[in-house]
Amino acid sequence: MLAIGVDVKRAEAAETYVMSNESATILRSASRQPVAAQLHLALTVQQLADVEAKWKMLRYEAVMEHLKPGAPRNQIPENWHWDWSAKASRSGTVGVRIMGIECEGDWQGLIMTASIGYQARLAPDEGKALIYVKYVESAPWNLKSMTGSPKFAGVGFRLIEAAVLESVDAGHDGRLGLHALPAAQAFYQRLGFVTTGPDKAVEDLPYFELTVTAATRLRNGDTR
Amino acid sequence: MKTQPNQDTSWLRRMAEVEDNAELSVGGLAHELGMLGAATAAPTPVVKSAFAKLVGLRRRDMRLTVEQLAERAEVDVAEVVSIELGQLDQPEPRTVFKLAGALKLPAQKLMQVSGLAVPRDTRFNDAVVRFAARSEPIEKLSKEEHAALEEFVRFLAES
Repeated sequence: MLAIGVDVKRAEAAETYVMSNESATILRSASRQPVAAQLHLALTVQQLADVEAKWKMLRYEAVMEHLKPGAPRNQIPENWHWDWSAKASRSGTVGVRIMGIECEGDWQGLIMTASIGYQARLAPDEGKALIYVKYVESAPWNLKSMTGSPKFAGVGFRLIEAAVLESVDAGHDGRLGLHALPAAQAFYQRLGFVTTGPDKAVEDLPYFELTVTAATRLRNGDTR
Repeated sequence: MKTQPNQDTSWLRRMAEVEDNAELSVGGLAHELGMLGAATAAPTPVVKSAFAKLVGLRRRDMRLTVEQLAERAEVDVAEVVSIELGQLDQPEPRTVFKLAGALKLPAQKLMQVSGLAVPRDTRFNDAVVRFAARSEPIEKLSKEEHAALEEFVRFLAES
């Protein structure tokens, strides 16, 4: 009985660790004043369903707004949005994780990362493990492409930072990898990511990597 | 997490400036799902028919009813029915993804068959057309098909 009790405690401790949150701040977009927010390190299926329900309609409206008759529909895949409630089949797989930023009762942004099967390509850490960012999305009301007056700012930065922290905790010293679509390439470069150029294996999308040095700068608030 | 987010507000302001409320467009997941270079036009009738038949035949091969497939894939029964009838112009990526899981088919390939993603070689298109043509049944109706047809015809005659 005692042994079982210990195991339950251990399981509870593990659960608390996985589900715990970190406090982070984001900015009110108009005033640039900081607002308290929570970084959730794991989302439940219910939370993901809530995200999808709330974001879906707004995205749809924004897309319809942009899709006036005759307008070119070549925005895809830049405007392609992942259905977060499809999570069960995706992030349920080993090593895939979804983290989110919550503020004032709403989900402000989500990030999906993978910790297995990806390796650094840049010297001096070539071949070492890293965290690969599969997908990031801010809530529609925080995006210029969706609304004329975004509500919060800095959400995307916080999400990438969360992936860096995950990488540090996993023993990968902050190393990150990702493939960026054209619209966001400048952003990743400004954060300190270095590109190795188009990746033939991923439809020629450029591969970007954050080295340990760059990750440390990003975390400590010091880019060039 | 052992490590903490940076709490320095001026640093956050600088990073927010860089971000500029733009989309962060990362392509890894989209690539995995075959969503890059996604089709902008509605799929051709042949593609629609091939997708419909693939889902239908695969389901029957796995001995699933439409309801069972819908339940396993966590999608609407009505959606599965429309797909099998080839009546959905643009199925939801999520639906196709979920169906791929339930039918044990590669998601990226099913995205292409569904017309949501553009296949990279012409061999794929040939295979799709061949499948659409060859899977047109000519054999006798099965007992179940016959019974269902009979029952429905009877119902139509009565009402």
